[in-house]
Amino acid sequence: MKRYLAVFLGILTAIGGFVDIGDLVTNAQVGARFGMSLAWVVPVGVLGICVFAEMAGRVAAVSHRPVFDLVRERLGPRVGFLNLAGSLAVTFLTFVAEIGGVALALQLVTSVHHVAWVPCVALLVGLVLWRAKFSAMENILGLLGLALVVFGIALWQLGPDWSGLAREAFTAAKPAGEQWTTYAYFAVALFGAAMTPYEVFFFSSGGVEERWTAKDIGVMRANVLIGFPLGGMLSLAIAGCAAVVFGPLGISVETLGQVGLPVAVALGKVGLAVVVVGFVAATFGAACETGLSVGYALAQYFGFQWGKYVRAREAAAFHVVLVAAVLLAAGILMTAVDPILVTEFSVVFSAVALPLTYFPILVVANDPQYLGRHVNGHVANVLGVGYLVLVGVASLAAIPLMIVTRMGQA
Amino acid sequence: MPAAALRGVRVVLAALSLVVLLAGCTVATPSAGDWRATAARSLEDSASAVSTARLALREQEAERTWSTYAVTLAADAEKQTGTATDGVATLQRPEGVGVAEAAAVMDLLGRAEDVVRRARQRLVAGGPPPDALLERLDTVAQQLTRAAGRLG
Repeated sequence: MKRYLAVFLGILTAIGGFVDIGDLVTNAQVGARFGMSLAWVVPVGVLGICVFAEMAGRVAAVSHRPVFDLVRERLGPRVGFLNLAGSLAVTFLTFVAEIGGVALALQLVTSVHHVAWVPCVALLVGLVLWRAKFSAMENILGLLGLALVVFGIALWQLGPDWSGLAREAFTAAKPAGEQWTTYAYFAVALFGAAMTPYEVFFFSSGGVEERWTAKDIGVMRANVLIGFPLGGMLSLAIAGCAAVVFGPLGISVETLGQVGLPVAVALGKVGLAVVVVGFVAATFGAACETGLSVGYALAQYFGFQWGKYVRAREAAAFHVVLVAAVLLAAGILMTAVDPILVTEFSVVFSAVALPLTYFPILVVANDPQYLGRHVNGHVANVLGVGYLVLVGVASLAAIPLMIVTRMGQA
Repeated sequence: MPAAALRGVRVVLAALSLVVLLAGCTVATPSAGDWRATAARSLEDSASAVSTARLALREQEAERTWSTYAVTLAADAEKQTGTATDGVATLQRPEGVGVAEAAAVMDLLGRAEDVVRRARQRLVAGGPPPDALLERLDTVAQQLTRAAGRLG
C-alpha cells in the first residue's frame, strides 16, 4: 500500500512540477496566435523528455551517480565541459526567468511592481535551497503546482468548439497571414520549453539525493511515463484557453496576467485565485529546481561534495554556488529586465543546448560498465537516436529563426 | 599555413572588420516597405493591448477578477501601447511614405494610448465603466486592426 502511495505521490508531483514559466508563457502565446495548430509539438516534446529522463533516472538508480559526473568520466573533461557550459547557461537563464515569474505572479495579487518583489522572492528561494529537505520541497511545491489543472476545467467551462480545436490540432494547419518561419520559430520554442535540459539533470540528481536503487526503476518509470504526459496535458489546456479567449479578439500574449485571464473569464475570482496559486507554485518550484541544478552541474563536473542530503558545512562549495546563483539572478532582475523576455530567450536557447545535454546521456545509458544489464534496449536507443536527430535540427534552426522572425515578431 | 597566406587572411579579416564597423556607424534609413511593416506591427500590438484592457474592464465589471489583477493587466497594456508608439515614432519616415500616412498612424497609436490610459484610470477608481468607454475601446481596437491590415 505504501508503495502504491509513493507511486501516486510521485506521479502527482511530476504533473504539478512539469509546467514552469517557459511552458506557461510559450503555450499561451502559441495558443493565442496559432490556435491549436502547434499542439502536435507538445506530445513530441513530452515523449522526448520522457525518453531522456527515463535514461537519466535509470543511470542514477543503477550507478548511484548523477549524469554530469558520469559524462565527465566517460567522455572526458572537454566533452563534459561542453555539456556543462551549454546546460549551465540555459539553466541559469531559466532560473532568472522563474524567479521573475514568481515576482510577476505576486504583482498580480498586490499591484506592487515585480522588481520590488524580486529581493523577497530571491531571499525565500535562497532559504528554501539552503534549509528545506529535498523531498519536502519537491512534494509540497509539486502538489501545489497541481492548481494549474484549473486551466483544464476553465477550457471545459469555456465550452469551445471541440471539433474545431481537434481539427486545428490534427491538421496542424498554419493560420493564414502567418509566415512559415514564424510558425517554425514557435514550434522550436515550444519544443525547447517542453524538453528543458534542467528537468533531466534535476531528475537524475534527485534520484541520487533520494538514494534510488535498481528496485526503484519501476516507480521512476511510472512517474516519468504517466506524470510527464499528464503534465503535457496541462500545457495543451493553457494553449486551448488562450486560443478560445484571445484568438477571436486578436490579442497576443505578452504578460503573465494575460496567461491567467481566460481562467477568470471561465471561472471568475475563485478560478483566478487558484491559477495564481498555481503560477506561484509552478514558478517557485521550478526556481528551486533550476537553482539546485546550477549547483548540481558545477559540483558534479568539478567533483566537490554536493546535495541536500548532506549538511551545508559538508557541501560548503555547493551551497556557496547556490547563494551566488540566487544573488546574481536577483541582481539581473533588479535591472528591471522583463522576465517574460528572459523566458522567451531561455526557451529558444534551451533548444540550442539540447544536443549538448542529451547526446552524453545516450552514450552513458549504453555503457554496460555503469548500467550492467540495465543498459538501453532497442526501443530506448531507436527513440534516443531519433530524438537526437530532432534536437539537432531544432538546435541548428533556433538562432537563425530567432533572427529572421525577430523573436516571432515578423 | 605559410606566413604570406596568414598575412593575407589577417588583412582580409581587418578589412572586413572595418567595413562592419563603418556600416554599424551609419544611421539606418528604413525603406517604405520596412516602415510600413514596423507600423503594421505596432498597430497590431496596440490593438492587442486595447483589447486586453477592454477584456480586463469587462471582467472587472462582471466581478470575475479582483481589482489588483485587472489594474496590473491594464497597466501592462498601457506600457505596451507606449512601446508600440515608440517603435514608429523613433523610426525615420522614408521618402516613399507620405506625411499624412505617417501622421494617421501616429494619431491612431496616440488614440490607443489615450483610451487604454482611461481604462486603467477607471479600474483604479473602481465602479462600473461607462458604456462609452467600452465602446471607444472597441472602436479603437477595430480601427487599429483595419489600419494594420491595410499596411501589412
